[in-house]
Amino acid sequence: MINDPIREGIAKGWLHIDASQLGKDAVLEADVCIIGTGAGGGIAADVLSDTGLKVVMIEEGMLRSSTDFRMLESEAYPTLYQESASRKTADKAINILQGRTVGGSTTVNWTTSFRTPSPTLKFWRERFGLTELTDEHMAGWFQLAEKLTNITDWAVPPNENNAVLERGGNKLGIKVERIRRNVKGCYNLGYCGMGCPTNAKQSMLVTTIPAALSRGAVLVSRARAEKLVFAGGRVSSVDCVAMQGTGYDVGNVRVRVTAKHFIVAGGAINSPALLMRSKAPDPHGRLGRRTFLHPSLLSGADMGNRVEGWQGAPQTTYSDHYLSTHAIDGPMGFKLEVPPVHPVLYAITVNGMSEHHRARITNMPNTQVTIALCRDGFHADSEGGSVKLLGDGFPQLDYKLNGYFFEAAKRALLAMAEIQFAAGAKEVFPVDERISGYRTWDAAKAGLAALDLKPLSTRVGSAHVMGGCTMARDEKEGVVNVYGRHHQVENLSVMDGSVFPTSIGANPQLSIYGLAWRNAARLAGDMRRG
Amino acid sequence: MWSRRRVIFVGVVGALAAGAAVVLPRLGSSGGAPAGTAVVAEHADMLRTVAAALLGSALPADADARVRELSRVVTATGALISNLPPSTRKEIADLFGLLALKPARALLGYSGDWAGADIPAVATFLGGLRDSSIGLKQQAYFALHDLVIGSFYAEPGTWAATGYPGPPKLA
Repeated sequence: MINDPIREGIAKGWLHIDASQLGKDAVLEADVCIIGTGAGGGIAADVLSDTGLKVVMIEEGMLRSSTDFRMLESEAYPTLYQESASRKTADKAINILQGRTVGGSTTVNWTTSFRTPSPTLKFWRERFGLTELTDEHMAGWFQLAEKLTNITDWAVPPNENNAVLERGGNKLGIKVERIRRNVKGCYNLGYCGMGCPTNAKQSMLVTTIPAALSRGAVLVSRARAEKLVFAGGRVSSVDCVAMQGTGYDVGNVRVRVTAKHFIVAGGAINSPALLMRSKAPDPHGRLGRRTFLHPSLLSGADMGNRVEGWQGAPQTTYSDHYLSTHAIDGPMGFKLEVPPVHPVLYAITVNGMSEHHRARITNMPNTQVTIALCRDGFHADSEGGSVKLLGDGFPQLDYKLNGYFFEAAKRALLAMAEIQFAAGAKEVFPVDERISGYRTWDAAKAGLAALDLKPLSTRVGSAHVMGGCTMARDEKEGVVNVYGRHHQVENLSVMDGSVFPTSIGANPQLSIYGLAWRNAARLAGDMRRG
Repeated sequence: MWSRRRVIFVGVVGALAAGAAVVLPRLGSSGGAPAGTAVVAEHADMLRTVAAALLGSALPADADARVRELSRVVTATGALISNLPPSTRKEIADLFGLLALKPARALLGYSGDWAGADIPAVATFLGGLRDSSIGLKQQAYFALHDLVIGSFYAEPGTWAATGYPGPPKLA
């Protein structure tokens, strides 16, 4: 029997309000109101409640916990992900996986843990004036987060899906390394993306949020923060609407939270959208701009023997080789990783239909998949996307895939095919509607060289949404300062991946933890001093 | 209903005439977002036909089992749509509305009926959408593809043929 610390805590009297069950309007009062309970909101709730501040957390998604996590895509995507795991950019060319539940993306991520790479911090110092953010300065904050979420080396051998990347890389002299994971007592099941059923993943759901709740913090789930209310240049309250059912319908019940300070932590796309709906000051037109995705290419391979990419820790090997073949602000670099392979996500991702599609999916057990995450935001031709509001206030990201990106995409598809063939692949299929598959590395080289990669035909995905409320020393260049404080509004902070002024060039969870911890600790000090 | 479809139709003619890659929201009609169950109920013949073309031999060979499976896919697609944001539900309803209107779908590349349709002809039509240089057509293909194929493979009964054993049992 596996314990469910969330259900136990609720039974013990933690203060959780499911707004969808409220019969009438509610008003709450707090020292700090945190909107969003993912990597940034979770850390902020823990740090601030620990100093004795009264914290209220607002979350649009549902509160789900290990008892609910049955390792089924049919349940996980609609209940734990933004837009049922089918959030898309405006032209539908990029599919975005992003969490929408208590714990945010940390509840559904694949446990991959990297500190912010040194070249990224260096670029931020030089380009955005974030001079405090040195490796040495951040190391202490990363260490705190690593201890809290038990980020450690993963000693178990990689599953075959990950081993292919390691084997192929070794054959070619391309350095492939092991990924550190935020798990404790992991069963090595492979279902991290559907919510950890054993609570081994040290997400915000089982660490910081329980810590805050045990100190008397209040969690309001199924409440959408519609807008911040401004009075005298400060935020006076946040107006929320209760959600209905499991999806996106809203009810009539309202929840209002007043507080001394407000922390927006809804993640990239949703955080800038909240500020836009609120008509927050944006004198330099920075809000929603520079939103990054690590747009990612996929390459499938028929290995001719069992891979079973659905089982075992999903991400345990990676290569940063292609992040350093060019200058950081030159042609776009990419990181190689391996995703889990489960039927729904695989079936909607692999190309083709009818018999071609069926042949691919019936060979799923022998299929290896590698992904290349492109490091966007470091070049003049990589400005990222812009968040816009639709007529009903719902956000949409307009992100154009341009020639600069597709030049890297071509190199990425080639690199993945070469590695997969080196590891013994019988056939490699870079995921593009026009590629039926290559039997040899020479055929892949010739085929890819002749192909003009383009949006929609070439499959591009994202699991990392960053930017849109970018931090910069100069208020002309960003929405918040180096401590996440809003440049124009004194009692407003942003603490999530939306503050990053470029993409990270690595899976972002630990970057968010470390920076949010630093900034929340600073805010706690500021509030103590009044 | 006619006026709503007419608005969409005019929008599409304009978009296609311009040869532009136009995103669906611009063609959107006014009015609220319908529930997924209502959307699929109105367009069940189209969805069953499109599903048969997209899934091919993934569907059971037995005629009765095939009908049951297609009905299941339509129902599951409705549930999937119901969980999407209102703006997306409206886009999907507009797309389905477009496909229901003969002159509009002829413009997209299929002038036949949905009930009793020739499945290979529908597969050719879908392939044409997928391979089109017009963004709107490609978007239509991927929307249908993801809804139908996602709904199909979400069902545990479809896993055996894929070699996926399903999630492990926890003690």
